[in-house]
Amino acid sequence: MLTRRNFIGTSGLLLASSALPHVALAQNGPLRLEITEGVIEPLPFALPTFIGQGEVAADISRVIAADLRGTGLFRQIPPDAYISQVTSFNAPVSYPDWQAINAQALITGEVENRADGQIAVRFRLFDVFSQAPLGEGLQFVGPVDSWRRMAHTVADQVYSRITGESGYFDTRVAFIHEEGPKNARLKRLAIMDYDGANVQYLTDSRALVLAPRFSPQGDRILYTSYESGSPQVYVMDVASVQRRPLEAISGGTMTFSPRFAPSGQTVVLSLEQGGNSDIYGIDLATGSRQQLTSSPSIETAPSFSPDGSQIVFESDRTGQQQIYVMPAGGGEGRRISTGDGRYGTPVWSPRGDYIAFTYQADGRFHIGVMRTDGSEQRLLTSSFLDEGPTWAPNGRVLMFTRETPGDDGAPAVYSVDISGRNLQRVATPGMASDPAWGPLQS
Amino acid sequence: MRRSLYASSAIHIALLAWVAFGGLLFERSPEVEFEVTGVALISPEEFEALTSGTATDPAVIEAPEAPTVPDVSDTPDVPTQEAPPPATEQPAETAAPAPESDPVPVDPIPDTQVSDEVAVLAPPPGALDEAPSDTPTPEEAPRIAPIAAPLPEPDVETAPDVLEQPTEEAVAEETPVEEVPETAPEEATTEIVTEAEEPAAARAPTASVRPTARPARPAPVEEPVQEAVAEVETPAEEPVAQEPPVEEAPAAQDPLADAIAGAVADAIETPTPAADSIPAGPPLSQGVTEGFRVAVSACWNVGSLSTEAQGMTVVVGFELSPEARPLEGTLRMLEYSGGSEAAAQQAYEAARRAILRCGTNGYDLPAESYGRWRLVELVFNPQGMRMR
Repeated sequence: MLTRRNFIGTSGLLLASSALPHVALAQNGPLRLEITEGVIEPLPFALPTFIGQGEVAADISRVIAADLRGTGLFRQIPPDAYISQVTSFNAPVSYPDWQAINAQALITGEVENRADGQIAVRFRLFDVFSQAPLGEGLQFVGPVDSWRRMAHTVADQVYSRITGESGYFDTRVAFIHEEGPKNARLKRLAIMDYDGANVQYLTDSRALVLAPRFSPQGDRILYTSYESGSPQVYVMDVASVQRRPLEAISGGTMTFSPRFAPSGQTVVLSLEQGGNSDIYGIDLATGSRQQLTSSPSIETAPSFSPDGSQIVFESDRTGQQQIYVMPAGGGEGRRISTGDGRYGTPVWSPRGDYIAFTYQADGRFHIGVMRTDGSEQRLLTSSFLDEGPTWAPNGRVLMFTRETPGDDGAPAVYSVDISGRNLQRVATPGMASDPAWGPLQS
Repeated sequence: MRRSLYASSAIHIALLAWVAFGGLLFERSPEVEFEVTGVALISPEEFEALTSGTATDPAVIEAPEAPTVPDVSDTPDVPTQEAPPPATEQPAETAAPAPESDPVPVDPIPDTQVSDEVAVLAPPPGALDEAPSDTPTPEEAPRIAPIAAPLPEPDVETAPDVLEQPTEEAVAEETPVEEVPETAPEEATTEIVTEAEEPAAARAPTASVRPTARPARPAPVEEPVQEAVAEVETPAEEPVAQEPPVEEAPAAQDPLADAIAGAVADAIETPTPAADSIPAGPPLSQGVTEGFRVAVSACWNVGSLSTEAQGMTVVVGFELSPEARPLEGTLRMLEYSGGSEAAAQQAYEAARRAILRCGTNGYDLPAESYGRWRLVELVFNPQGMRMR
């Protein structure tokens, strides 16, 4: 039976229950969302000039900033926008001031001139929005003359801590320096820092030189020279600039396109005899030669896989240049390129995940990468003439030669990120070609 | 309601008056209509004349229509055809037809039965060949008669329905009470079911905690109530145990009132940092969650990550303040896939930067739904950004 009280009570329950949907208690699980797309843009960083006396501190700061900017992954916030000034290396960081200018990374440092004539470079990296150091501070000590290397080393550390992969700033690049008109071009073997600084010429211009290749340790360079009148592979000690023919060859024989094995004890190259070229392996210790391919076609441009178990090379055995992979000890090659154009100069990535190559089709040249099985082919560049890619030691960046058309055409060295972004010309003194990226020096 | 009663009464009175004075009870309505059968007024002489064949001319047939006319020859045609209309209008024209009917027509009424004989007239020989054209007209009259008779009855049956309605007004107080319990449980159950589906586990503990606090209060009857009021206003840390007593005081022994008070207390409960007591609030709309997702996406920069880290999926869990700002100390990587731990750490750092950077001023989330977004898990899956 419904009484007045029950009626009122029921009405009250209805009133209360009608309000409940708006104040339901906390849900059991957290709010879960999936984010599938972000942004790809340079990470803004602040780098106050390192504390220290003299110009070295400023120079080091400038080189570090240039290294980071040059990757295309970082953007330097102009010092004029800084709110805080770092007056002491150990002073606490005013994170709000750096957050206010949207600096996501902060690099502070100082340069100390030591009594022994050396300098000590210290730095710290901070994650501004996390308000915490990103890794521990480091210190490098060296002669004043090596300040650039120390700056590159600091940049490598910053790059590595933020990106998660090793840097490539403290490296050198061997290349061919070119001079003169196109029909009388003079070429010299040279070496420089990765950013074009500290260029050193290793050969004179009396003999034509081509295709230098760094040893895995960076202490030697293989290259092809016409010093004897025909193409022949030489090996040079970088420190002493002493060179010698890799092996004695008879008349009518040409060797070219050399490459070190990962161990540095073996070299593979192309040897042409009687109009036929094949790939050979040469043991540097014994000088013994092993033929790795045997085909009436042209096999050349061999490159070891990082583990030294395989060799990728180009061959026109099907009538057109294509890329093949074979065991390091030789054997039947397996074609991995499938496009209609011409594939050449394959180079295995130091990380082993990609093979870079030159691709020619429809009158255009491209630098591209593909997986080691030929899948996921991706062309990174396109121009009148792009060729000869070389990997940065971290497998993230490629350098290559780009030549402009016409009688006034000139070669230059360019770099590009493996993603195809950040294409830029490398600063070289004059014309340059055939870059070969060396390993990290430290 | 009384209007209808009066109207009904008036109609009934009018109807009865019409029946009484309109001639329904005492006047032969059918006769008026069936005066067409006045054919029966044909005198026996004329009938004999017809049957004998003396009256052969059509003109003679018209003559009998004015039978009353031994002498008056003009009037007979008029009454035969105009008589039916007045029959339906009798209530209003009762006075008019009366003088005409006074003469003798009263007697002819029984003669209407003669109409049957008219049918018999057809066979009679002699005049058959000449009279067929006249005989059909009188035969149509009886077909009309049966239809007119039942018409007046339905008007009388509508009255009872009108009379019953006023009686319901007197019992109006009881009937609504009977309807309420039928609808109330249905509405309550539907809402309770929907609420139970979402926060089922969260709501049960709050309801069970309240009774435990109640027994402790009986000792001091009045003072605790005042203290409870003060506690409810100042600290919001113990809403469940202390808010209900304030409202339960007036009806402490009524379980039904207790249930109401509990429901109301839950409805009034304010959000607090305690995880279990935070009301979830209304569900987040698609637009709100999408806005939150887009806000974090705008700060999720994978451009500075390694290629391996760029292909990794990391799940980051964290807590938001009531102002929708991420609490830095709560950020943590819950899981990762697609690469090494080192690369996952880099991917997590990028995700962490995104959450903190775009949440500096607080995300645009509805405060009333804090319980729904206090804890967040974001899955950073760069599937739409991986290098092809």
